[in-house]
Formats: sequence, C-alpha cells, structure tokens
Amino acid sequence: MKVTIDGQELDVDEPITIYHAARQLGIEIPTMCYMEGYDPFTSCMICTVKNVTTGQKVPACSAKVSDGMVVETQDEEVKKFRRATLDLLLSDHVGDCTAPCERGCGVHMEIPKMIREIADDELESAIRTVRRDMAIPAILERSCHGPCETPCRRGKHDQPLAIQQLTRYAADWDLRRDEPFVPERAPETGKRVAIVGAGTTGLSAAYFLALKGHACVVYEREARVLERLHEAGEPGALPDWVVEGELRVLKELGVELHLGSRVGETIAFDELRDEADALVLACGKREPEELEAFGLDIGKKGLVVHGTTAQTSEPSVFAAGNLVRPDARILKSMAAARNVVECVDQFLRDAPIVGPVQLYDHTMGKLLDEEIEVFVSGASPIPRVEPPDLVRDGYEKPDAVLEATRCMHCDCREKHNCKLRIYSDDYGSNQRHFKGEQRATYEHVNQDAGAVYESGKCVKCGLCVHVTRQEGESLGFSFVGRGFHLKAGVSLGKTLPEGLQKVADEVIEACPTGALAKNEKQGRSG
Amino acid sequence: MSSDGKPTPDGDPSSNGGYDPADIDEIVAGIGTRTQDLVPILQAIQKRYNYLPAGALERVVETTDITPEEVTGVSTFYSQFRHEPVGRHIIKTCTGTACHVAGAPTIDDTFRNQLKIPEGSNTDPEKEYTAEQVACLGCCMLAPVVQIDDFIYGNVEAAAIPDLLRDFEATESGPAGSDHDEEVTHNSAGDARICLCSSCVAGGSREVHSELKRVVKALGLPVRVKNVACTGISFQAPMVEIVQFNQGKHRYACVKPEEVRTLLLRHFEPVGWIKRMGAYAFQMLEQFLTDDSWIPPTRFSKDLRHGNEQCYSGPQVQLVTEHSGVLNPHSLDDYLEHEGFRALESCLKERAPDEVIEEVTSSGLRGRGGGGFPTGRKWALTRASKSDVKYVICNGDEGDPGAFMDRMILESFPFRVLEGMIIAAWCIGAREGYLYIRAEYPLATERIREALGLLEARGYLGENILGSGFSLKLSIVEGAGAFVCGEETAMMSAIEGGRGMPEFRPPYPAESGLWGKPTLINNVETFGLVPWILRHGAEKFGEHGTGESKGTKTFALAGKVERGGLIEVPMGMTLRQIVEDIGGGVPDGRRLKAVLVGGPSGGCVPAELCDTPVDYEALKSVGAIMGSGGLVVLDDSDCMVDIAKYFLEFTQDESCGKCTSCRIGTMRLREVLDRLCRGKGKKSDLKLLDELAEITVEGSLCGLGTTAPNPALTTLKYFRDEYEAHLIGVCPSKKCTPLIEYSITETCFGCTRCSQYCPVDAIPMNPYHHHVIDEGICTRCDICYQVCPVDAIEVIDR
Repeated sequence: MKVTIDGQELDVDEPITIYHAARQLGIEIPTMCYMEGYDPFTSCMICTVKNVTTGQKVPACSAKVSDGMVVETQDEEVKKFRRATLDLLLSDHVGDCTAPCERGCGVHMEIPKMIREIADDELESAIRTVRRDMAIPAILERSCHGPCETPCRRGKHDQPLAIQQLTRYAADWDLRRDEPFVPERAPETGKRVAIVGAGTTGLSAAYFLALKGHACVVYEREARVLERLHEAGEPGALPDWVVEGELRVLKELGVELHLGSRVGETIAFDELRDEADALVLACGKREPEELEAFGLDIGKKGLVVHGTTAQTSEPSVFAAGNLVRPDARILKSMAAARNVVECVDQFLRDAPIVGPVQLYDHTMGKLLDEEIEVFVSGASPIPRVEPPDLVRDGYEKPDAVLEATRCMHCDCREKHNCKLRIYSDDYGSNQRHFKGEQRATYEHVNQDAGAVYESGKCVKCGLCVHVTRQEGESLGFSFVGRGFHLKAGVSLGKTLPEGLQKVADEVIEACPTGALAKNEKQGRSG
Repeated sequence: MSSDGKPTPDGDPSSNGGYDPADIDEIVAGIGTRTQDLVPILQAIQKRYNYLPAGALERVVETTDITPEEVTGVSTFYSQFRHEPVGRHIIKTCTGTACHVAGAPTIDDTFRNQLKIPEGSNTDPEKEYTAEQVACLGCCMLAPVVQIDDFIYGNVEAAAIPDLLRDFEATESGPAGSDHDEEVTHNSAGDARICLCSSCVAGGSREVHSELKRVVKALGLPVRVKNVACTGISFQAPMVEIVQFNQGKHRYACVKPEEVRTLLLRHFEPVGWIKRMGAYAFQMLEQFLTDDSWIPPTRFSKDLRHGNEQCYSGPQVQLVTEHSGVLNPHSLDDYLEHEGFRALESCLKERAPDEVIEEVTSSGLRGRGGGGFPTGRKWALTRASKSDVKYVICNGDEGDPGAFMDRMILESFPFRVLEGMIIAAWCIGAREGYLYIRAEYPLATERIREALGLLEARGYLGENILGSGFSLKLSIVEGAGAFVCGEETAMMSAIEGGRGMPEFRPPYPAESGLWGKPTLINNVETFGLVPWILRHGAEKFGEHGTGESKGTKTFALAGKVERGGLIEVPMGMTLRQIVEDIGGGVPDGRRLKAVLVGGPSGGCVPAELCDTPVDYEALKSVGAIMGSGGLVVLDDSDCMVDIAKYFLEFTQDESCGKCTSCRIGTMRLREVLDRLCRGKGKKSDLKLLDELAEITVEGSLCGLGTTAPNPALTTLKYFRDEYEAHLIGVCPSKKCTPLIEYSITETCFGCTRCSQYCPVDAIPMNPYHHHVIDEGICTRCDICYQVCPVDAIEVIDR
C-alpha cells in the first residue's frame, strides 16, 4: 500500500503504524509513552498527527497506515495541538529543569554539576563545567556580587551554598597548574572579529567568540586589562597570577591582545571596521563626543543599539556592556558578553540575529517550607563552611568538599535528556498557559534505591508499569488511582528498592522525564 | 448493595487490627484465581470488612495468579473500593443531576454537620457513619435520594435529616420483605399490583408491599399481591393497581402503608364469613374510634386513566417497556404468556442468522447507548469476523447522572433484554456472553441473575437451546464504580479484570474485542427492542420515528417537571412535548429554562430551542447528543454555570487519567468553572474555556473526554450572559453560594423555627423578635428558607 507522509511517498507491505512508516522516511515523530518493544499505550498523545484524508488527528504510535493515506506530521495544526498538549502537561509538572542558582547566574553556568564534581574531588571535570559557560572565572568570581547565591534554596533552610568561593576554588586550582585547562575550539570559521575594550565584557566576548572558531583581536586603550575592576576592587583582590593565568588561557585560544591601542588615535575606527568581519564595541562608558567620531548614530540615551541584535547603525558593528547600559555589576557584563557573542556569531553565519536561545526551563515557583525540607533531606546537614579569609585565601580542599556536600541537587537529574523539556522547547510551550489553581506538593522518594522518584515529574506514560511487567519484576510499578490523581507507584504500596530489584536501570532509561532517575550517592557527579 | 454488607464483629479492623487469612482463602476458593476474578474477589473482601485491608490484598497475590500490579491498579481504579476502614453504616448521597438540582450538595453537608463528621474526613468520631457521595443511584424522579446501607430514601429534605436518621436507626434491624408473589389461589378475585424497582422502593413501595401481603393474609382476601414491571410513573410512587378480574382496574397513587387495609377492603371481600364479619367489625370500629384520622379512599385514589396518567402515558409508545405494570419481572411464565421468546423461537426454528440481521438492519435500529451506530451493521460485522470464539456483551453500565432507563429496563423486563441478547449471540455465532451491570444497581443484578437461572432451567440458555443445537452461556459482571467502563474498550478491559482504561480503535471490538476475540457490544435498551422488532417486523418499527432515527427511545425524565419517570416515546417527538405533555410542565409556576440532554456528554438545549425533535442528528445540530437518554429539566432558578461546573466535576472525577488532555484538561475546565462560581473569574477565562475544550475534545481517545466539554460549551453558547454576570461576581439565579447571602426580612415575627433548624447555629434564638443570620457562620444550606412559615428569608447578592 502507498502512503504519503509530509509529502513523501512510501510503499509498505503491511499495515504498520504511522509512527513506524514515518520512521522509514526518516521522519521522527515525537512521543513520550511509546517505546520500541512495547505495545503502544496511547496516553501522552504527543505523537498525534493529522490524517489529511479524514481530517482527523490520530496518535501515530497506534494508528495504522492504510492505502492512499495522506499524513501531515508537522503542519501548523499538528504543532498547535502538540503545543497545547505540552502546555497541559507543564501545568501539572512539579519540578525545576535548572536550579535557582543556575538561573540567577549571569551566564547560567551549570553550578550544581560543578558543585557535585567538587564534592567528588573531580576538579578536572569541575573546571570543564565552569569554563563551558564562564570566561575568566578566576577573575569574575573575585568580583561578582553573587546573584547565584541569593536564590539558593539552601538559604531558606540555613545559609546558601558558597557558590562563588567554590567556583573560585575550581578555577584557582586550574590556574595554579602548569597546564591549565583550555577548552576545545570549534573548527576555524575564517572570520575575524575585532573587540574594542579588554574589560569583563570584552574579554568574555573574546573567549566565547574564540571558542566558536572565530579569530579574535582585542584592543585596549589602557596599559593593562580590566582597568575598572582594578580600580574598584580592594588592593590585592585581583592578584597578578590570576590575571596572567586567565590571559594565558585566552592566548592559547588564539585571542590577540593589543594594549594601549586607542581607537581613533593609534588605530582608525574605519580601518578596524573594514578589516574585521565584525566589530564589537565593549569599551565601557564613553562620552557621546567620543562615539560621534566613529560615525555611528547617537540618540538621546547615547549610542543607538538594537535591543535584540546588539547592532549599531552599522550592521557589522555591535556594542555591549557599560557602553550601552551602564551597570557596574559583573553579572550584567557577563550576560551582555554572552548576548553579543550569540548575535555576532549569528551575524557571521548569516543566520537570523535573535541573541542567545534559552532552552525551555520549567520552574516550580515558590516552595513551601516542607518542600524545602524534602530537598534538605538529601544533603549534608552541616552549616555553611567558608575559607578563613574570603578575599585572599580561598578554600583548601577539605573545606571545599564539605561545603559542596551541602548542595541539595535542585536541578533535574534528567535536564539534558528529558523529553518533556526537549519537546516543550521545540514547540514553544508555556507552563502558564493552562496554569492550575494549585500546584501539587513536591515529592521526592529516595529510600536508598538505585533510583530517585519524583512523582510530580511523571507524565503518566505508563512505561515504568509496562517495563516492570514485561521484564518480570516481582512487585514492579503499577498505576495508582485514576483521573487527575493518577500516579505511578510501587505495587502494594511497597518501597522503591522492593519494587525495583531487577530492572531499575531499564525503568530509569524508559522514563521520558526526570520522574525516575539514577540515584547517585551523595556527592557523586551526574 | 453488595459492597455494603453489615460488618461482622471480627470484620471490625479495630478489634483484631486486620483480617483473617482464612477468610481470604475462602473467598478465593469460591471465586477463582484468574485475573478476571479480581474484581469479584475484591468486592467479596470489601463486603466482609467494609474496606480492603492491605494484608488481605497481599494474601490475594500469594494465593492467586493475579499480580501485585493488577491488585494495586484495579483496587485503586474503581471508586467502590476503599483502602481505609469506615463507619458501621454508609450514607451515600446521590449526586446525580436531578439530585444536584434538587439540592444534593446541601443534603451531603447536612449529614456531615448532623453527624459531626470532621472536616477532611468521611467518618464520624464514633465510627458509626461514613458519608460518601455516589454518582447516581438512578432514582432521579425521587430526587434528592440518599442510600443508607441497603435502604434508599427519596425526596430527602435537609430539614428532615434528623428524622431520617432516627427512622433508619429504628428500622435498621427490620427484615426486608420478600419480593415474591403469593401463589394464585383458585378463587382469586383479583390482583393488587405494585412495583418494587429501585425507584419505587425509594418512594416507599417496599412497606406498602409488605402491608398488602400482611393484610391479604390476615383478612384472608382473595387477592394475589403481584410485583410488576415499573410503569415508569415514579412521581406517584408507591402506586398500587387493583385489578378486579372481569371488572376493571383502579390505580392508587402515593399510597401509605396505613391506607392499605382500607384500600383492599374497598374492592375485595374476605373469604369466609368469620373473616368477613371480622373485617366489617374492624372497619366500623376503626371508623368509630379514629373518626378524625379516617381517610376515605376517594381522597387518595387517583383515577389516573382520566387524569394525569392519561397525559403521561398517552403520547408514549411502549415497545421496550411493553406490558409495563402487568408483567411480573420474576416470572418467566408471565413473560411467555405475553409473547415472550416468540422471537427467539422463530429465529431458531424458522430463520437464518443473515436473514435476522437483515431484518434488524432494515428496521433502522441504532445503538441506544448513545453512539447511535446502526445495530444491524454491528451484528453483520461481528458475524463476518472469522473466529472460533466470539463474545456478546450487554452494556448495562449506565452511568450518566440523571439517567436510569437501563436500570428500569433490567429491573422490569429482564427476560426481554436476555431474549434480545440470545438472538444477537445466535446471529453472530457467540457461545459466551457477559452482562456488565453497574455497581450501583444491585436490584437489576439480582433480577438478571434470577432470570438467567430460570432460563437455564427451562432450556432458553445453556446447552442446545430449545433443541436447536445452539448453546450459550451468559454471566454477569458487576461493575465497581467507573463511569468510563460504559465505553466499550474500557468495559472489555474491566471484564478481563483490568483497569477500565479505553484503548485506541481500530481495531474495533467486532474484529478484536474481549480477549482479542470478535465481540458484539450492545446496550440494554438496544437488546430489549430486538424481540419486538422481530415479532412485528422491521417495517412496523420504522413506522415510529424519523428518517434517520427509527422506533422509540426511552428517556429518564427528571428535574423540574411535575411528572418525572421513565418514558418511552417515538423518535421525533419534540423536547417541549415531552416536558409539557408528558412531564406536565415545570412546577411551582416557574419558567422552563433548558433541558439537559445526554448527561455529562450532552449539552443543554435552551427553552427557545425545545422544539428540537429527539432524533440523533437534530440533537447534535443544537450541540447536545442523544446520549443514553437522560433528560433533566431546568427552571429559571437553576444556574447554568453551576450546571456546567457540576458536569465537569463529574467527568473530571470519572476520567480514567490515561489521555493527557482528558486527565488535565477536564481538571483545568473544572477549575475555571469553579472560579467563575466563586466570583473569582478573570476576563480571559471565557477564552480559556474554549481553548481547553478544544484540546480536550481533540486529544482524548474515548467518548468521555471528547464529549466532556459539551455542557460547558453549550451553556456558554446559549447563556453567555450568565457567565458574564459571574465574572462580576453575580449569580443571576442565586444558586452559587459564595455569591449569595441569606437574610431575614421584617416579615419575621420571631417564631424561632429557623433558629431551631439551623444546623450550624448561625441564627441566635430570640423569641418574638426579628431574627438575624450570622453571615460568618451561615453555610447557605437553605434550610431556614425552607422552614420559615412566613417566607421571611430572602436570598440576596453578596
């Protein structure tokens, strides 16, 4: 029989499901409740496609193809349906994708992961985690006001984690080595970016643009980098070995640095602009007259810069940081750098300039005290441990590890492969669209099993029930209750270890969200 | 009902902390060890302990082939099962639509107040009573209805609840009378006929029946007390029909037990002179002694043939309810005397299955359960499926709150339904079948069970039926409380012993159904119509009804009508005719506002569209559906937003939870409607209702989800002004309690009656002075309004 899926024709011998037929054409239909090797349960409805012949929407995992059938798997109607279905799931989803600290951080560094790595004394991994999202960390963590610590949930119980000191601990450890870690660059793009200003914004931008494979040259009018930080900080707050270490990493990434280069004096603006494929102005607060000399449009509030694209009146000239919006906080400089880097990169790749694309990030909102206690129960109970001298010394290893074990693992264990998150991102879903009257209480079942169960993240796909049944787990999971209050739980109300004696790994693998996840021992990275 | 048997002393969990493994073993030994035995096992355990002790469930797993997953999954799916101990008695307040509009929420609250049941619990501190809500007891015309253990009380008033509890405690130990008829004596001069169906019993017919039997025996009257199929005139229950052979019939409505003796003596003379003398003496004595309480027969006799009943019955056409008021539901002979099993006999002896299917097809009969699929085509498809094993299922899981047609038909015409089912099984080639009957219908189950026994004993069922070589085994499967099991794929899963979760179709049951075998599922009424069609021919059936909707349809007429009950009308009659001509219009001088058709899946048809005929397509065109046939009439005191909320609460509670959009969508719809009824609605909520309705309809596998938004959509369409009023915090019908206040007008002369009846002491007693309601305490239960002798209570906007 012949079927047409998204305009492609396919000949099949037997009536297979639309899902499998599409697969043969290389079309991947999203699904949460269907898994190869198990009968379709037809519950999540995310796989819904349109049978153009009948005009009906059918679940692709269960509906079979018939001769002459025409199917659309991605038209606007289908997308709208999936978006709404995901909106419903999100309205009943109790959990956070990323941790509050991560959301508070200017560059959204994966802080909880770094902390777990520190707790495990896996500093090589920790520095990789840090440097993936943060340029010049040893410098920044000595200067930032710590917006990551303010929202830390541990603070509602006793004191927030000492995130800045922990990050600094990892970064300092790295820079003290003979060969500090240098992240891998993307293949050379052949594009050249000139950056004016070697402050936090300029250096950060250079770091990330270099990582993306662009050749970067930084021009700084002063004789040293980070002039403003040096001036603002306490004496000794920014030791030379730290600055030198970070510059060394930049240098190894191929970033050229020209100190004492005054644009308009030692080097002409037009020349700079014409020689580079893109120019980033990150030179800090400037008087309008100085800018006029560059021939860029000036408005009442200073240089005219597009809010989204960060472009000035010249398309290849971008501006970021205090030059655009004066704000002394390092957080803002980091965020500005991250923003302008994405815009420049998109510009250089001829892609639409939209700035950084934030992955869908679900939030629980305000937590009840008892919910905080659920989180606390999984972490070390000790009070905050700090280095003896916050400014000068930093942590010694034992203290850092102790402090790291206080982290409550607020981030979702499956945040990188949760289907609900990925699809919500793909379809632009919104957790507030169908917001419920009251959020369910956060629950967390640990019981020292190989798995952690957070029932609020369950989408009732039934895979845990079907896997434990099919694999012959003696108790296994079963559905409990019905309707809105339907849950998956261990049969006969037994404990998680009793329920998952045989196939814990398989069940965790099957779970499409973070409801069931691997339980790392306290402090193990994940 | 089966789940509410009296607990035995050792069943009291507090006395020995649990259960006795020997009990469980005995139950299992008596029922079986297969998955399909699970629900009956759980029902038996609950009957024993009034709940399911955790240890007992583990014992079931140990001693059967049933897995832990099945035990947990099934025991938490059905609403009948409890996992916590309960009180000695269980009060179930019916929350069906008719009961809802008649004030069921207040009744439930009043029981809880009266019994001092703490907030968040269902059981009083003394563990005497547990108060629960039940979807629908199917006694809608006696609304509001309450069941306490095995007793059903109709027309319950909040103010009378203390009396009701006293009555229950007084009669609790009294034995229920036997339903069975007295033998016909050779010199019988006539019948005293009375219906003992669930609704009539709720109206008090059990007591009248017992009294009839007692008086007949005591006075030696030549009368046979006959239990008959319900006339459907439940608004007049208990009704006694006196048939004097060769003389005529007299019907007496709303008969009280104390009136029975007079009534019987009016028509019959005792046999033998001593008894006759005794009777005369009694009559004279009674007249003499109790002159002022003497009620002459004329006062309660209603010659209905010339009054109400003429209108009630006149426009009706009785096919599936043929011989109502005459047939004894317990008597196979009675059914045989009234052309029973003629259709089956002619099928087995003279006709071929294809020919019969052709006849059913050409009659135009469509499924009466709601879907309206052509019955003949379903039969032909199932017949065409190649398989050595096929099944036939009778869908008796009528769950719409406000519908009781199937219950009445099963209770009153069990043989007719079974005859239709046997014919269907023969046509498609099934040798096994099941009747899935709702948990809340114990009497229907009992009567069908009795009928199955009689049929097997007389060769109408079992091996080699009537010598034809055709064999059929039919069994009953009792539901356990899940509306969604009315959906065919869910029902098959339930019969197999699983959670009643619907599945994607195709494959349809005709191809792959129960245990993967071709299965025919028809509704009670559909089967019940088959014998008539085959006896009278397809053409005759087609004389009733409209183009695409042939024959008759039964409806449960309830709500704000003078005369509610089970009716059977030709398709095509308009809703207005039904309400006005049969139902006698809206009572208390109120105005017809809308008719709810098709229960929670249907919609409301506003008064101005009530000339819509009852016909599958016509009802659909106004946003309603035929559904199974619940008709609830609303008057201008009913709030349409409250009605929509009521139905969404129902469907949300009954959603199985499988499909995302039904599981969460119905909850969000319910929340929006609840918000509106509390005056907390937002302007964007009306748009949100539309959006939620759309996704819920599109993303649900079964009829429950795809139709759940209908009540909200139709009320929003026809009564948008009421929604908008709620947005600014006003309930125009003064129904939504958070938006109203009770106050006492100057008319009050201080009789203290309101204060005495107020269940929460919100009205301080102040004799001879104007009374005042404390708004902070008042629960808006409406009792003061009902008891005030001078109508001094008024309801105002808050």
